[in-house]
Amino acid sequence: MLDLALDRARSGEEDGFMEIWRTLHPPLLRYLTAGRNDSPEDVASETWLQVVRDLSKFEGDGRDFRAFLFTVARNRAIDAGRARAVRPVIALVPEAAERGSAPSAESLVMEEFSTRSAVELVASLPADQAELVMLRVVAGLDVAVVAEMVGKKPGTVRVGVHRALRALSRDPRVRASGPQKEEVV
Amino acid sequence: VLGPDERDPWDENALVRALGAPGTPEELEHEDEFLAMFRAQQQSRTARRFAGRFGVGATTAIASIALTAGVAAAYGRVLPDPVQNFAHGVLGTVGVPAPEQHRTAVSHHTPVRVIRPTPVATSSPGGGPSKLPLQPSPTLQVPTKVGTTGPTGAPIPIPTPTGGTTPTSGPATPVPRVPGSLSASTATKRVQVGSSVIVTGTLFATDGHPLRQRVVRLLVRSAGQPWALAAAARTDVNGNVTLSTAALTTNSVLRLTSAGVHSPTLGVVVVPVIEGSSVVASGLTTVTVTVRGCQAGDAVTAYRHNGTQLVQIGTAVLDATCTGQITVPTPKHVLRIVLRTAATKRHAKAQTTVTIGSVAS
Repeated sequence: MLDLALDRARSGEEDGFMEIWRTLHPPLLRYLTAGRNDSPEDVASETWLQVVRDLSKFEGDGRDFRAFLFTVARNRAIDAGRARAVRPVIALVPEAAERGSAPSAESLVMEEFSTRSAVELVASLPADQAELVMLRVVAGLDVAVVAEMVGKKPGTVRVGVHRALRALSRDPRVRASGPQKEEVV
Repeated sequence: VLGPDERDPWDENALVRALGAPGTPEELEHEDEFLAMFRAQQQSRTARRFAGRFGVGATTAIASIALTAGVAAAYGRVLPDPVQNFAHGVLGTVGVPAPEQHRTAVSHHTPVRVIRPTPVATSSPGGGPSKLPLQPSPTLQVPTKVGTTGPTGAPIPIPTPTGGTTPTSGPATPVPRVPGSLSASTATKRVQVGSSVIVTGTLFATDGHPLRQRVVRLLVRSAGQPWALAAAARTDVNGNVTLSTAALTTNSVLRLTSAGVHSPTLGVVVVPVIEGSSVVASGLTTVTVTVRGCQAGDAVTAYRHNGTQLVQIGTAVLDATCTGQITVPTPKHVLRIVLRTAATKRHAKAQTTVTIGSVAS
């Protein structure tokens, strides 16, 4: 689906671009947030500005575009980190758990573990490990692409992601939202 | 979102699901600004292409025209279309209109909208330079368009439906309405496996007026899966839209979405269908159970009435074809047994009755 949208966007169609944006902007923000950027929205805006500027020259499919977008974002985040003076890190406040008295049909299939909490949890990892998780899980990039981006071996990336996810899965919040209770109907 | 090589072990992990969840309204709230950024870039490309085609001399000449007597001509839309178009592209921010072919339905005295920077922390102890890419600047001022925009950034007139309530007389351009809310409802929240669900919704602008001719998408999310597009349609003159899912096989959550505005989610529970048949051999009755809408590993339990309550007499675990067998001693008389499967994350509970015994066999 991203391939078609990309073709439309390259030919100047707004719908195509907005489809890409709606698909990739949320993971981009999450990636930048987990990377402890104090203003992920700014870096994301800068990223999209460059991407829009270079869109007509971009060659490749949707998978390549993901890699392109997150590579630009990574570079912009590094630039922003270098340029800014020391700033306090704004900690995310975990959302209050929403628990009803009885599970509804929605709650049975909706995510019980909020995305914000998940990003916050990943951000608690060492920076390089958090980045691997976000690039693999959120950005959806291949191991080889991530390895090239961060300058590590593919095996290192694979093992790093696996270990990080395993470690995070021991968190009580993740465990609490694991198996679903049976529905009472 | 993990690749095929690592997806399986973590597919059902709550953390992975949460990280890969669809965008929240907060994450998508600045959609209009990014769209304006794209439009501005497209207009800039159009201007550059024109300059490349006609050369620097022509560009300079046109700029001279536009900056002197040509400004009046450009405002008066009397320049040749390509020139007018270019003048519009270059000087659009100061109100120079596009060529004649777009004038019938769209006024070109459109308001100039400035791209607002995204919210940032205002305190910066270091006082370092801001890296904001969207600082308000003349180059990022784009005229707000009515309707959609074509590949070259030119406005496409929106035909007014017959009997429409929107005034069409007069040259003034109506201020484009932005989607503000989207409702959604279904006739039922409980369907048999294989049934589809019809969702109706209404799209309203921020000022409360219904929005017509807007694309609304129906998204479906099955248990453990990401959101998937099920259907799309345009709203009618009253802002209403009706969409249908494909046949549902697992519990699902549905929602409508349009231009970054999402409806509340609607949960739909899928009820499996249990079918049973029995075979008698050597004093034993084997009940074969097939369940549509279940998964391999789900259990089906057989009960019999003892007069006051149900007593469990056997259990079958379904195989990959959602079939299982329960073997019980053949009763001397006709016996009705109840077959039940419990509710899981993927389906509701279900039951059926099967008759076994001398007559049934």
